[in-house]
Amino acid sequence: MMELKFEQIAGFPKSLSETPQHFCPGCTHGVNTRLLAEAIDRFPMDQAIVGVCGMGCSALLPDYLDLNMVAAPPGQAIPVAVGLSHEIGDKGLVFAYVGEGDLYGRGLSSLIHAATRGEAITVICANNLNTGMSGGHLSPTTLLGQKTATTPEGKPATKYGIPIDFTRLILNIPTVSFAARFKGFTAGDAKRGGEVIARALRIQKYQRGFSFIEILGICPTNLEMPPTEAVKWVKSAVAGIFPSGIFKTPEAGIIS
Amino acid sequence: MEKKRLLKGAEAIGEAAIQSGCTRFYGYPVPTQSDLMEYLIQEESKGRGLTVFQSEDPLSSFFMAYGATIAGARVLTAVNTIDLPDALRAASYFSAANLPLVCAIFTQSGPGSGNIYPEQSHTLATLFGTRMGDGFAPILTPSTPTDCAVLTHRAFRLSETYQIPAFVLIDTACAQLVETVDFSTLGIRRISENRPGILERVEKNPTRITTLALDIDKMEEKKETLREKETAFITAEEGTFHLWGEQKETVIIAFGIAAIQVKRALDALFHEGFSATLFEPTSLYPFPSKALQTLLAETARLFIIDMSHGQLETVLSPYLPDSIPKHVFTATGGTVPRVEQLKLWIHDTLQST
Repeated sequence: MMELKFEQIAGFPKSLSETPQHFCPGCTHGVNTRLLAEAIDRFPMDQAIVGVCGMGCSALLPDYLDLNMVAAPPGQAIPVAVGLSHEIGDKGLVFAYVGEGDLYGRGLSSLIHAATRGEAITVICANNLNTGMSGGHLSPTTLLGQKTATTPEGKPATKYGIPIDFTRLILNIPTVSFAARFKGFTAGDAKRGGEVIARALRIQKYQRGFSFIEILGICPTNLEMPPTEAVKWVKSAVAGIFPSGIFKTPEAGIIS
Repeated sequence: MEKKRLLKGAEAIGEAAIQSGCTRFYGYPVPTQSDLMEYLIQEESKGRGLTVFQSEDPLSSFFMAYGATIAGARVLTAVNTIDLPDALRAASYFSAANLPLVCAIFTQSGPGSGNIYPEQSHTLATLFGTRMGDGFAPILTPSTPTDCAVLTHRAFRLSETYQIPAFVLIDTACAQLVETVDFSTLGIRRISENRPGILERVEKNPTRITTLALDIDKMEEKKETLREKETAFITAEEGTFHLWGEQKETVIIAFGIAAIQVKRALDALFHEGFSATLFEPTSLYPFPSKALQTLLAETARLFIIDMSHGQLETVLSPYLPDSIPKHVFTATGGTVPRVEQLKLWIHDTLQST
């Protein structure tokens, strides 16, 4: 009789706390938080980890992760992560998990400067195309025509410009070691995404480089769509604007 | 390290910070703050245990300081008043997170970009601004380089003792004044409190540091704790001051460069047979109110040298009895009250009262 071998592929991540999460139904922040916890669990824990979160929907991350966590003021997650990294040095790893409204809005200057200096931090941007916590307002990645609380008729290019691929902007900075973007919609996405996060942390550990990941997500509440429809809409709307993939690694440099 | 050093006010702040055990400086170059940063960079290269970092902007320097402090560093920051709102925003966050920070604020003429010459027109903004959300912070006001050293050490001690932000408010003229500072007489020593960094905290692992409190009961509780801390602070810590002169009939109140000029004017007037006493507060919070009220009990007339439109008068108003006539000399726009000018004004005002 053939012996069956079982491999545990899922479980309650050790780094995830049991605190009930406040995220709206269908929101991908919950998935991101779990992926982060799983990636950290997979990581060899011979080094301490400190996480920083930004303001907005990510601000309650300290309650949801069983890790040393620091909540930063709006726009200041990167400076806080940089300060932690300067002092901690190679005694630990520092990551920042920040929404795109915060990171690409008032946090953009610090993000670019930290990337330029090749600071030893891993930055994870949760891009859900709007500033969710504030009530669904325009964010720097809101798509053309997308309705938000500040663009009820849809975002016009004439007034607010076009959404920028900030990941591409970051990866072109020579001192950036790793850059990737993935979607957090399906089980396959999640599996690949978890691996990307773990890889970024490994790069920080072994090469002390700046690594950057953008996770494309949905905000069904503010899109005013059921989650499944929101996923379909975002998938088709971002095609060609925010592609997924690993764009830069320390070994290969810029891949695409 | 030589005990006697010829230093500018800004440099004395840096030297006292190093001697107090400061391990990191974060800042952004703006005159006159740059004198402090440049001094620290020189000392960093001598291996004195301090790391200096120029941030991308003033606000980020405070939040790099926030991260480094959480990780265990003892941090000094500095701004010019053109970036005062950034310092005040930081004060709010450091207060809320119960974290120590020392920040030197160099006060120049305003509003707007103004100029880099000295003024004391950011006094109220600092006093009230550090109370955002009911936070609190000591505000110390040196005039001489020796005072810069003593008060910077005091700021480090207060910030570590109470885990609060502390500010050294200095006008850009005092920051440039040069004096021999004898560190052997000042009692400045490495502050010994051992504050564990986020990785070393074992009593509560993992450590979560957040100033967000969505639960109103928890927020109220947090505020109550802050109030208790302020009560303990204000009960234990006296406001500091200098008193120059012995007679109590005529009292002049001034701080910063105005106090230095008053001392010079009084020296000159003394030889002409006039005398008055200078009361120089070197701490605006806590304010040396008892000392001032004791002094004023026997005072017949009061002179205030205000390098702003009435801000020092507003600071003093809770402590001044209505019965004492007040005379105010105002100098703004970056003008330092000249000794001759003050001498004449004090002389004429004394003659006419």
